[in-house]
Amino acid sequence: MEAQEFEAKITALVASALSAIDNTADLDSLENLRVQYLGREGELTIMLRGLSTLDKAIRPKAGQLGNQAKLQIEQAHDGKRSHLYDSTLNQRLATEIIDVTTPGTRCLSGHIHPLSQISNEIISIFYSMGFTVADGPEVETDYYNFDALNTPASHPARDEQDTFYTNIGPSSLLRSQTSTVQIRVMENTKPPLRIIAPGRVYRNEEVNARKYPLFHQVEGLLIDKDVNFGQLKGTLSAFIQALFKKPVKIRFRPDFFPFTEPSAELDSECPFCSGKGCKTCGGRGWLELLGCGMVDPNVLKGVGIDPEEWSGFAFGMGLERLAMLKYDINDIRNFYTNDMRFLEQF
Amino acid sequence: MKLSFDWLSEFVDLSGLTAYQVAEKLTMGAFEVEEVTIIGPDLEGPIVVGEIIEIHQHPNADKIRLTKTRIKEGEEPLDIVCGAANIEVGQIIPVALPGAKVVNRHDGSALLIKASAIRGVKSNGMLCSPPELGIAKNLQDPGQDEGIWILNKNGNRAASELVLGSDVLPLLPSKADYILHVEPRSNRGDALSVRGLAREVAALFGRPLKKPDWSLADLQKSLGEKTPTSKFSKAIVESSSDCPYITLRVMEGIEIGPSHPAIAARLEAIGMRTVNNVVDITNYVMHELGQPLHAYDANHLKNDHLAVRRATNSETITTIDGKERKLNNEMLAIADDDTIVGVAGVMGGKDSEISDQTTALVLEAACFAPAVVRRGSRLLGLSSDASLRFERGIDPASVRHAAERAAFLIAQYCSKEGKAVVGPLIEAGSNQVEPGQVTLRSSQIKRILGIEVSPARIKELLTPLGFTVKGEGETIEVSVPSFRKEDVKREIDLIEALCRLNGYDAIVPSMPAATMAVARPDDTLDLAKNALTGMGLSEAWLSSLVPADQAGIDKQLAVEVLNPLSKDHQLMRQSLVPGLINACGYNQDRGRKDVWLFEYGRVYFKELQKENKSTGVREDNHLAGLVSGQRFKSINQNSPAVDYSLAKGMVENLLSSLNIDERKLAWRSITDNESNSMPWLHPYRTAVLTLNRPAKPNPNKDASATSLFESNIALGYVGELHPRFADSKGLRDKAFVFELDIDRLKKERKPKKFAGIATSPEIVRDITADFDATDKDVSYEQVSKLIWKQAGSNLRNSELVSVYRASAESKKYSMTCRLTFQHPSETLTNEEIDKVLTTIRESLSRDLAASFRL
Repeated sequence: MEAQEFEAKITALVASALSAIDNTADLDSLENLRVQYLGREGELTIMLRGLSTLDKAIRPKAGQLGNQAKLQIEQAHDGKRSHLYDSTLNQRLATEIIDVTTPGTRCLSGHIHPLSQISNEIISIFYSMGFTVADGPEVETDYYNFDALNTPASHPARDEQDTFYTNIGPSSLLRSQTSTVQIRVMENTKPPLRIIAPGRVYRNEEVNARKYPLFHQVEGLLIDKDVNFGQLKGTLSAFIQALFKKPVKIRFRPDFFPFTEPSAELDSECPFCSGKGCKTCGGRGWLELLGCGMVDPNVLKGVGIDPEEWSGFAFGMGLERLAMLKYDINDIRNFYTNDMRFLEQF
Repeated sequence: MKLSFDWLSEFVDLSGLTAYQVAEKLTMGAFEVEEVTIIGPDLEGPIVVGEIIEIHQHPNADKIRLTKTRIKEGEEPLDIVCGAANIEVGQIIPVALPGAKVVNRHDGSALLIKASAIRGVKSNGMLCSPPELGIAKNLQDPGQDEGIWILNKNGNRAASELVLGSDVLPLLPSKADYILHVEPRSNRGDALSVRGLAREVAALFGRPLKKPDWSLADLQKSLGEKTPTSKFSKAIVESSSDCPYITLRVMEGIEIGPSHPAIAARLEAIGMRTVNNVVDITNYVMHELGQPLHAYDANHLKNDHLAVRRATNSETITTIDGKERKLNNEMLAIADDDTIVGVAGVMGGKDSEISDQTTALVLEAACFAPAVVRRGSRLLGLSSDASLRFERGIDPASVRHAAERAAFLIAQYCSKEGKAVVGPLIEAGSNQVEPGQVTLRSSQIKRILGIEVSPARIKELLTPLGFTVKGEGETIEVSVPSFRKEDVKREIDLIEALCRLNGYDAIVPSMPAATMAVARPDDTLDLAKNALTGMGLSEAWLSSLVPADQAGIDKQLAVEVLNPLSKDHQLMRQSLVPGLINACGYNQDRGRKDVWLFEYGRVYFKELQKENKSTGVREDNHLAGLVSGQRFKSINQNSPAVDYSLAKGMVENLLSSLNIDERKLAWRSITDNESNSMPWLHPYRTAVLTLNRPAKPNPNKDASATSLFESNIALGYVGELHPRFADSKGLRDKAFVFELDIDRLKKERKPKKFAGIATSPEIVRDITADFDATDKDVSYEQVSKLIWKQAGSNLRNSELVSVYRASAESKKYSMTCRLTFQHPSETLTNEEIDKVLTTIRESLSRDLAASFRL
């Protein structure tokens, strides 16, 4: 074959290939064309395979022409392919328009009860101060609920806390305070002690927006050598600042509890009126947060701890009260109705 | 208790102090003042005594007249316009001058007086009616509630009170006063009076107490020291422990009427109803000195004595409030022989009460035992101001003073024509109180309070409260006044008093020094709650007090409240699930379809055999959940409803998040006994989770027990709600529940440890077994357990991939399990696996009657 003849043939092949590629409208036919020209048995491939039969003199020139042709067809193919891919994809994308602002598919999300949340917060603050969690029974005896807490049968406080009694026995009652746990822990563990005891307590009170026959307290107890009232003030002040996560004006106001002496009520300035006096604080400007005091020597003696050697302080707070203040909840019954519309706000 | 600031000032020098300062100090001194209210008219001078000299008709108005009113002898009278009809020349009347503040009689607001022109006529003040001076009911001049107050109408005022130009305000029954609402203290009966609180105020401010300005002896002298004609002469006390001390006194020549305005005003100010002059005085003295008193009409007593004794079970009394009350021998009575005339310390009897006809009386002041008064008050459901004080303890040493005070006031204010006869004091028992003696160590003050209080300061603080302080150094001897003997018995009580009087603010906050090893808290509950909230359940807190007819209560094991608030709060729950079902109904009733709730809480079982040191009740912590509604919300896909499989999957996920080895547990169908004991469970769609091994015997947990949680191997259950129960609770949709004994489940948790990831090849084989339920009904659990038992150590996973049943009624079914084998390091051969599969097939055929297709 002459050089001119080869050149003509290859030019014609390229022309027909380029024209066919150009006229292709879809990726499948394009792929067919690629096979037709460039595939293992493709027209160009066969032609190039025939180069070896050519005259040695024209072989380099023909080889060069052949490679140019291959490159030309490949480029045309690739260009067309990318064009066809893009236009096909763009057509498909146009069919995939959705309203991206519609709500997503949602599983229900679970919420932790606000009383759990505040209880956990309180526990973690005291945990960081070296307190550990203790627990005790709710169906108690009058010994743990009263006698061991320096509240003998003749004590007026025993009438004031309207107690539920049970069929278990004459001394069996539903504990009216978590202070019972103090006694149980002290009976079984030698000081020094630092415990925090969250739990449910019961009082025979009519149900209303502020009262429910059961509620929850967190009790704390620290017994060590040389524990004094200043340390009670320091510990509880630190706790309140940590709980409310901001500086809160507080005061320790004297009070009486049978099992502590001296005793105090810790008040915070009413956050709703900044101490000016409002409905929430009953015009006082202060809100009671918790009761506390130095453990009465009689309580220590009763559990076999020498009050001349050890001293300590105890405190107790109502979870509902703190949660109501913290979350601005106005009716205690919300906590036990378990309305999902309530629970899902926490 | 309500404390009048004005009354308080009779006992302690309050000069320069406001009621609010006193309230603040009392609050910070352990007597919380909840509120300070202002009572009485808000009046300001000049309001003076004047005389109407002339009256003329107003030129421009029919109903208004023009007066000339003189307000100072020898001075020109003022022109004052007046609209009242009752004025006449010569009347002495109150005149408010320009600058004065009186009460607007139409709406009670403040009315400022200024010189002004009324219908063209100048008026230089206002003639005042009682309401304009804040008097709602004119007790001094009955009938004069309307019109101008004519001060000289009844002739009941001394000429000195009617001097023209003198201030009217002292003539008024009530001045403005501040009432401090003081929270009573259960251990401080001594402070339930004006005098008691005055002592506290004196100590808190370092002010002196005032001495009494009255003397019964002096008054008796001025009355001629006559003796009563009555034969009444004795007090008899049955038991000195019920009544350590009683005083009685006959008073004659008494005239009953309204109280003196000053006494009535005081009582009204603290919200007490006025009755008559005698009864009001007993109440007055009770509030003033803390000593309850009672006056009997002497003419209604038959005998020469009154006895303090226990009532008998057949006796009754009609109390002053008109109610007939049955008595019993737990109550202490005051008896006129066979007739009960009073319940001691609680309330007097109707028959002998002071009435308008009373001319002679017997005045009682006593000290009754707190416990017996409390018991009587409780049994009768009758609480009075008197019982409140007796319950907190009355100081026997203070009784006589109060008895004299009341006799003094009665002789002063209730005397008929100034001829009252005050009889001698009749006593029984002893009013002697051993003085309390407490040793105070300075070192203990420092140890408990963290601050030093000097002996001089101790003396300064305690003396106004009636304590006597001796000593300078480490040891200080303190003698306790009789009225504080009950609450100050120990060193710590004195330290408390010092801490309070010195001020809590004086104590410097610090932090406890010692540090302690901190025990790691158990994380089971946190992990469980995270898992459940992650699956979409919200936490509920339910009442542990449940109704008497609560479903599923094992009566034999029930903890019952003997004095329940209501039928709804009578038993302690034994399961959390009924509460969750109620909560589900509550939410569904409010239009909520998807209710996914869980609770962690206690259940309570009476112990049949009480263990040593036990309270007699076993309290277990359970974790329970309820799901109802749909799995998820989507606008594009059908949202599948919650089903049994999802609920069980949740429990399985929960076990996995607690790292509990499920192979140590087993699922089985619920038994008839169990589903009967928990009627909310579907009998064929409930699985019980049990230990896969025998548990240790527990005397209070019986393996043959019918109740699910009483068996010693059951850990919980998951199931569909019984349709009958759901219907009875009005549920609108299927619900699925689970409940686990978390305390016992916790023990099955295993520590977390990484087992490595094997790189040797896995071999996966399916095994399909055919069963015929007519022959033997086989559960997946049985198949699974057998596969694991027979598969050897190389089985990594066994998974149920399909259960096939030709039709729902078909007794024949097949199960396909996909088994994954893997050796930790070596490559398993097909021959090895085939051998294992053969063993499994043989065992399934033999034990579970399975057949295999070739």
